[in-house]
Amino acid sequence: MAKTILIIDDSVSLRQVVGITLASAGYDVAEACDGQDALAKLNGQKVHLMICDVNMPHMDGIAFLKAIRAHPAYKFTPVIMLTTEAGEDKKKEGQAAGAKAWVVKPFKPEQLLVAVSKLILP
Amino acid sequence: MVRDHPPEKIRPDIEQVAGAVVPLWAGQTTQARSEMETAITALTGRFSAMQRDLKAAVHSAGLDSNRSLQATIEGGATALHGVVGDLEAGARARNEVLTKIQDLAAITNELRAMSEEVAAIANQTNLLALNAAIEAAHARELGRGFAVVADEVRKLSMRSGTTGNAITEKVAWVNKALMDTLTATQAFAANDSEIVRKADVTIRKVVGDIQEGVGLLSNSAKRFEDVGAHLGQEISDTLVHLQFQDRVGQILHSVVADMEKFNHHLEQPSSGLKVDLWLAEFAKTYTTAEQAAIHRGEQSPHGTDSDITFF
Repeated sequence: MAKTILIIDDSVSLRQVVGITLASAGYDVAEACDGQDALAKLNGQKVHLMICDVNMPHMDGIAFLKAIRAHPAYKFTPVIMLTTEAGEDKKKEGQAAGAKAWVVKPFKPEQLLVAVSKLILP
Repeated sequence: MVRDHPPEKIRPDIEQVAGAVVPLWAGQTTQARSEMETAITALTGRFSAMQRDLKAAVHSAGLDSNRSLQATIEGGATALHGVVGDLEAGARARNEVLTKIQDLAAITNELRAMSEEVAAIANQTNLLALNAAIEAAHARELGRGFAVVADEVRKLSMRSGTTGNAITEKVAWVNKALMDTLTATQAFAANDSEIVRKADVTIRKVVGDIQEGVGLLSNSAKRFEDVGAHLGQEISDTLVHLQFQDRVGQILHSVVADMEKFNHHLEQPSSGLKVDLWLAEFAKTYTTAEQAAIHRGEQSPHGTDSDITFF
């Protein structure tokens, strides 16, 4: 059975690029347009990994990360932050909030897939 | 990058112009950002669909299906050659029947000779019986009994002669039937060999032609697969480059927010703008390394390699 990955990004085109990259590697893909939308869509359902933008309206990526780490179902779900943010301070903030990897856009599909395969839950 | 404040005497004009133009800049920049996002989203969607369709097309026309076709043809060729083998086996069996018929024909010749011998013996016996009857007549009363025996012997010899002739006729008839069968079977056998030879030639030619066609098809499929892989990589690279929209969007968002903040300040009574403080606040809104580099007056870094950090 294919593993499910949730993409959280306010850019539709970015979600499309990430989605086609993951789907071509055989993953099932779910999408959300920001942190709030992602929390509503998760609703306790199992996902094997999340790929999350940082700067988003309503609820940004760091706030979303803190919210899911407080939830027992998602305490250990690996999250890759995919963002234009390249600053070390933001990276440290993401690490402290529980991110497993930090990918600066633009990303190369094959490199993102390597990161996903390293981190995704069995 | 920090400029001197404009002279105090022209400041009101600048404030007026700025108050009017900054909202326009912000509005038009926002509009440009929105149009770019719409267009790039559509483009990305189309490229994604192209990549998906291309992958499906390459898969369906791929070498796997040709390999399967090749295997089917090879299987068919083997089966057809098997049919030729069966035909050849049939021809061999027919030749064995021919040999047996020839053996039978030889036996019927012997039978005919034997039946002729029987007829000859019957003739001789008849002649002997006739002589015995004559001798019995010469013996008059004493030969009466002997005459009866001679008559019976003559009758038996006649029956033997009749049976011998019937056997000779039957043997001749069987022999003729066998010879006719032999002639017809030999003709069929010769025809069979020719049919088998022609079938073998035809099968080899048809299989060869199909294999040649499949070879050409395989080459085309390989070329199609190569071109498909190349196009797929091109599209994949294009999708990477289309991510610029997200970065540009972040940069424009930061600029528009600062314009709006600036306009808000213009609307306030003189609040005493501090340039250094303003720029520092502006810098906090940067998300990309390029924005920070421009702020420092450095060359904007380029490159599309993913920067990945694992924690």
